[in-house]
Amino acid sequence: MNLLLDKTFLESIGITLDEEAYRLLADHYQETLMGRIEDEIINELDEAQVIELSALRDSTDQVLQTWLAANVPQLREIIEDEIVILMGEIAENSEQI
Amino acid sequence: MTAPEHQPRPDNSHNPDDPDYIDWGNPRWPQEEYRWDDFKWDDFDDVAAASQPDQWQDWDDPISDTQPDADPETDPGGANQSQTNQDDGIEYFDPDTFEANDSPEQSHRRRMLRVARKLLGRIDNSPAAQAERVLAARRDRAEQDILRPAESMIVDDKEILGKSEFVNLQVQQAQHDITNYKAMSELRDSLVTPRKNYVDWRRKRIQIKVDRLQRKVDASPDTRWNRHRKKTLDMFKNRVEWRKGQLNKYAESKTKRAEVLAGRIDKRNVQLQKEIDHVINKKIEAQRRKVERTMYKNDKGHTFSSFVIHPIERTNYMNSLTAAQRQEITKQAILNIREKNIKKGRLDVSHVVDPNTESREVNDYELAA
Repeated sequence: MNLLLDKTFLESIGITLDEEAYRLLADHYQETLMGRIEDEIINELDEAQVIELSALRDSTDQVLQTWLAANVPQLREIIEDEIVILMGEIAENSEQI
Repeated sequence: MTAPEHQPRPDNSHNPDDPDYIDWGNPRWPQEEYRWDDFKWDDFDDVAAASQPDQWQDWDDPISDTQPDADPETDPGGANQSQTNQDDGIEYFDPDTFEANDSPEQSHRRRMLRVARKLLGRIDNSPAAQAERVLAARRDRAEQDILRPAESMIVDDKEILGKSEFVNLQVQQAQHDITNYKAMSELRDSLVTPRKNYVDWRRKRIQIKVDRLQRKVDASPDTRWNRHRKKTLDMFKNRVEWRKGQLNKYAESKTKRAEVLAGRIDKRNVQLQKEIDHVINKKIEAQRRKVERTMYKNDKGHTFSSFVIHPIERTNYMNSLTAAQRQEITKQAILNIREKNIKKGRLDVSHVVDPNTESREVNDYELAA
């Protein structure tokens, strides 16, 4: 599933936006999704792992991804579920968008 | 002879020969004013008339009749005794003695009044009974004072429950408005139907008149009256055409209105709604997986007992087993429950549980325990 929100999906659930509105919605979607994934990952970790992760804050993305793959075995499921949940919320509120 | 005012008056009230003597025991005081010779026979006419049955309506008053008779010991010259006093020679009304002359309705009323008098006589008006009634009333008030705070708490709870119920009602009402919008348009159409039927009925009725008049015009000779009939027939025909036009206009306006309503209702077509439902269902599944994941994380052991805590997962798990596996797990669960109850002191060690006979009584909730 695509991480980014695309216009095809929005049109499939009856949402038609102009470019400016679509850009704002995509930014908000990306920010919300990342926040939720981070919260869920932190919930999966114990205290020692959280401290270890905070020490890797300034490291590169490659190192960070390697560490997450090693310490969060359900990382892929977490990301997919959060994407599905967020898209479901958008579909539920499609009349208000 | 009267004594001077500055001297005490001699007490002659007990001397019958004294002119100031007052006989308090005789109700006809002073005696000189009510001698027998002073009465005339005309004075008794009213009494005689009052003794007739048609003059009893005043004495049939239920309010006065329900008053109990005066007790000779406690009320020797009382007002209640006046109607039954026979000393003055007048035959006063007595409900018990005049019953033979009563009508059936009056007789029935008198019997009921006697029952009421007996019931009134059973009320204990002694000081002890009155004190007991006062104490009982005080006890009732004290109980009410104790219960009042609890009742107010119950009212508060009801208000809280009422608020949540109000929110639920609002949600239900919103769902009802959304899902039944199409039904509302159908209801409008159904309201239009009686009017349409009435218009059809009127049109048919006029058409029958037109046909009848047409037959009469065709069968009659060309006279002055027949020409008048033709004019009337033309007028009827014009009216029929006018009504048809009106009906067409009416139907056309209703069709347009229905199209507008249908456009509003089908704003989101069926395919779009299916797609939205599909996305929402996937979201619900993802949320369920998220909850299960959190539950597994909190339970490090992943044991069977912790696994079956979650109702959905427990049901899915049990459904995935074969009958033999399910029976074996149920037996094990029964033994676990027995051990827990023995540890908590709820069950005696000597109590033997036979899983083969009690396995049917174990449900999912007992397994979770």
